[in-house]
Amino acid sequence: MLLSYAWLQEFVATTTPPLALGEHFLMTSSELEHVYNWNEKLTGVVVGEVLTCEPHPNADRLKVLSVDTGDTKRMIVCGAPNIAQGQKVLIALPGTTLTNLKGESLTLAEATIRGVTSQGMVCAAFELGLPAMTPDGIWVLPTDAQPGETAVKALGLDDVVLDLEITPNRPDLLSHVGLAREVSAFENRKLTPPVLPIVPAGKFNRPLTHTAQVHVAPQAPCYRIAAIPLRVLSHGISPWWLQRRLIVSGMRPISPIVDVTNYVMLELGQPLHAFDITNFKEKKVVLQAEKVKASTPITTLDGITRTMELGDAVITLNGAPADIAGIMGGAESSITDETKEILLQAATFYGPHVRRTSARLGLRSEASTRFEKGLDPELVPQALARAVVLLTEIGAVEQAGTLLDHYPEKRKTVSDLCFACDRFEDIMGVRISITEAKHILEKLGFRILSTSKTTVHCAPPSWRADVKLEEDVMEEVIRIWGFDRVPQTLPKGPVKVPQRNPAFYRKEAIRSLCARLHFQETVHLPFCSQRQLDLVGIEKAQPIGDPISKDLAFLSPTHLISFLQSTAANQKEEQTRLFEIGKVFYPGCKEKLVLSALLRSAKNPEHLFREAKRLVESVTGSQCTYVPLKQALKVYDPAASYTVQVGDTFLGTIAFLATKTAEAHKIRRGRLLLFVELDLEKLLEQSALPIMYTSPAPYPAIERDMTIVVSEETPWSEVEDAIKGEVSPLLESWVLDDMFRGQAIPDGRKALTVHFMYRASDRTLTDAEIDTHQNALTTTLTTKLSAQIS
Amino acid sequence: MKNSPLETIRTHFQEMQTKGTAPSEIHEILLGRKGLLPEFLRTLKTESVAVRRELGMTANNLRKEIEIAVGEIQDTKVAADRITIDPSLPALPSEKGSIHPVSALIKEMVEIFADLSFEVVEGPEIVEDTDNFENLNITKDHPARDGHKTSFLTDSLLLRTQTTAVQVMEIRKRFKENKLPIRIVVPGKTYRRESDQTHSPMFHQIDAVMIDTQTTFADLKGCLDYFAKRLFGDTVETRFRPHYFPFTEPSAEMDIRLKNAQGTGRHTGWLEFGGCGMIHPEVLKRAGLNPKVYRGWAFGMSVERPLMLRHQIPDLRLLFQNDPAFLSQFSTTTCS
Repeated sequence: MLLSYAWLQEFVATTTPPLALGEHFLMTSSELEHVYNWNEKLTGVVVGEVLTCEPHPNADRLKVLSVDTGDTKRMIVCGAPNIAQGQKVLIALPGTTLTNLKGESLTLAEATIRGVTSQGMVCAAFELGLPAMTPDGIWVLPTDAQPGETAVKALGLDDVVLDLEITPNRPDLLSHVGLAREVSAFENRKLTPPVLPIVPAGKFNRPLTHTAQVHVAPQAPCYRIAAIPLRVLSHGISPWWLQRRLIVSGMRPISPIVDVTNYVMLELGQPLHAFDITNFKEKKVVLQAEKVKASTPITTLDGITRTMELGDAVITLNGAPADIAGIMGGAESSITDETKEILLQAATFYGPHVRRTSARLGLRSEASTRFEKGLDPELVPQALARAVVLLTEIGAVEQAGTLLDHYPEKRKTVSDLCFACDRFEDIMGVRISITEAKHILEKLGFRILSTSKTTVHCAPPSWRADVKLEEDVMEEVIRIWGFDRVPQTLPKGPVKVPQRNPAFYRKEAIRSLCARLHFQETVHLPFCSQRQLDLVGIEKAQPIGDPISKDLAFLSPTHLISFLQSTAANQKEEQTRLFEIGKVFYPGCKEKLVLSALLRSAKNPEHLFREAKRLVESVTGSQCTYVPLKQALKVYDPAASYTVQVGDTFLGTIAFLATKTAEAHKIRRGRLLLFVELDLEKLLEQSALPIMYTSPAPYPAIERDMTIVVSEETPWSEVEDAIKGEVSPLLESWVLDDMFRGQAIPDGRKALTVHFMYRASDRTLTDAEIDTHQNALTTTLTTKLSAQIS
Repeated sequence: MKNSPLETIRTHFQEMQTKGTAPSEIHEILLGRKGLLPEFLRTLKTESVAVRRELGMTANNLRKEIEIAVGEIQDTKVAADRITIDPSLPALPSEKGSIHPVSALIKEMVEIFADLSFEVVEGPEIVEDTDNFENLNITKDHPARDGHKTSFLTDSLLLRTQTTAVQVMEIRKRFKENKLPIRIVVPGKTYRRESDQTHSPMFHQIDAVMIDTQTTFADLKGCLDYFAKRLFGDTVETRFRPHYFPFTEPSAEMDIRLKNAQGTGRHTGWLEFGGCGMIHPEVLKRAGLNPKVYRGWAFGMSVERPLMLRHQIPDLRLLFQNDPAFLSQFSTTTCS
């Protein structure tokens, strides 16, 4: 909402400077979005008096003027046909930059035009970038303008406009009077709204040729409709005082009748619409608010034909839709220069209904932004009365009939709400006096019904339909009284130990663990495109209704898609280790929390796989089994894809990506890609066992290394099974220390160096005891696996 | 009598040192598995305890002597009795692992609220329209829905536009379990149907809710002031100004101003921090609570905004592009 500071002062005599006033609004109701200081506009443009106006010696169509610009006399060449001696006009001085209505900029300099030096330019409204309606040619000012005066001062545009963000519960603040009421409350000043006379009724000298009626159809989403028959006396242009109010409010003057409807909307908050019924065929005109019964096209003021759907609200003229209720008028009944008879109409539509239609049509207007928030039906006759006063005052119309009004069922408002000091203190944590509370409510237009020492009973004004509860009244009081005056305390009450959410903290521990294992956490947008799904070979994913773009059409069923996408975009690093903890989504609106990781490296695949296993087994906290995947995704290497299991419990997948995958995703070749996905929900279900102390062994361990050379075909698990098979109470642990091939190792065989730890709890072991086990193990490995031991 | 083999070993050791025998060879001959010293020790098994103790000690001293010598001979520049290093050598390269700054900040925020006795709760990201809107007093066609550009999956299911969606279900559950007062903090992903320089279709929020028979707007201000000061330091200023949310009454917007922040015009250095207010009676009713008896307050904010402020990240989108060079910058925050 653009609030003109000058206009505001018509209704409340504030002396607070505009910026400070904006701060007050911010702290009591509406956020200040922007400040437009008109005083900073049109710099370098001043009033000049045309002292002499002579023909140009070398050009038929040009004049040479002598102009008094206050400080000096200037010679100016002008081509406007309407220039004349004695006029007060606007002069742009050399050095001034002007931006015209088309947005084209021009910096003026002294110029010689056909041999005559011109020290400035006489301006038309268009050249100044103002959408003012003026007679053709240069802009001639009233005679009382002072030479040398700045243009904004002379035009009465020396205003400051505050752009306030009005919250959706306050349609009453989408008007200058509404905002003035706020100022009167927070500055404790008198509010002087415009006088609204009662519209004359009875016989009129020159009634319209048509008779008219207004009607709200049953079930129409409309509280009230009213209209006044008016006879047009003159068209032309609106007086400047009216135009400038519209211009600073961001609206474009069009014609006196349209301008007055807009003026009243900005002043009181009620949109109005004028229907041209001059050439209406039937004698009787019925203006009816109703729902359309079937799809109907309607051409609106902007020349676009739109389709009204079943249930949309319209205003019909004898049954034919003539206006999209609360949004935009129809082209057919719009005002033209030929219009002689009009019905000036105002109505109150149901907010949600207007909002729905406006959203569906993608059409928002000054009117719809007000209607959709729910307007006050009491405003309808007031706004019509105000418009008639203004239109009569400027000589545009005369009243030609009685006010027509249909308000079948009065909108319900709350009639009695109690403000209690005790309850207020209970909720707000601060006590205020009943006198203060009462005063604030009165200033905001609440009717005080009764008062006691600690309570006020009040009725909210008709324009405050948002006030329905005691809490709403409290808010009114506290926001004007001042949020900043409420103290800051901590909650009181008995001790209560909060419960820890084990799943959250376990997840955080897993996150830290992954980082400790040198993985970098990513957070991706969990969306993907059909193409990305196709590339990884996933047929079904959960689609998003009405997505913003193709890239955001589905919810990702795997983090792999995001990993591949961001890896392709960030390839500077030689190798990467990424992990992500987050939801993946499946068809049927299902979501699952998973931990995923992507390893990208030029290392040998066994080493990379072992690194991934370290992540998996650190996270799961146990040794897992890896079973070849039966149905691998298209992107996986089918020979190197496994499920991760603990016992029979499926925990996830670990898979090398097929070499083609990198290419298809535009990822540099020559690196292995290994993807891991773990079902985090299952992992978080496990509760961590309490740690129980065991005393450290008092005797030293004896360590032995053994290098076992086996066939390439023999997996480690078989070697390990053999070790496990050779049971010894002294063998504490073993670990695969190294693995190598080539050099001394024959082709087709590999060497595994295993590090053994032996320990007894009651003594220091002797070499002989260990040799026995090592020898037995050597025999087993040699016979079972044809291993060579060294 | 048994002392002599040890003397022999010592002599042998000294001879090898003078000859300049390679340390590894010295080690192998004297200390290796089949070396002279272990072999000698094995012969002691049959001796009495006293002899074993005495000779064992001498043998161990000799072993230490040899070990030191073997170690020191490897670097001839180093004097025999002191350690000399170049302290200007660079530290070993740090490991790459890192936690995403959003996760790190969420954890930090949760912990601040935990210090105020708030319990962390996480909910589903796909929720019913009822949970996201209706239960929060945002009816169909409510103008407040304008600010929540919503991605619907079906007629009734949607991607939550606010973590507040978890609020009513959680309050109802806890109230049934008689877990008053309720103090919960809800972090997580939220979704809006918008994407440009300052809006991401997915971002994170954190909500805090307190419900009790006695808690006030003053408590709300106190807790949030504490929260802001823990995040940005004691010198941060906070202010509360009226706003409108359908699910709180009165509603407020909380702003913060960092120390030395200045501005001109409307840019007075204040930054929007989060929305808050006393929970609307209608919302309490929908959670099954009598608003005459129970009351509460709620707070919600975006995680990204303070994050960008804290690390001076210029563009929201950088957070979700996951460039390893970006992620690495946050590795130091992992230990907190």
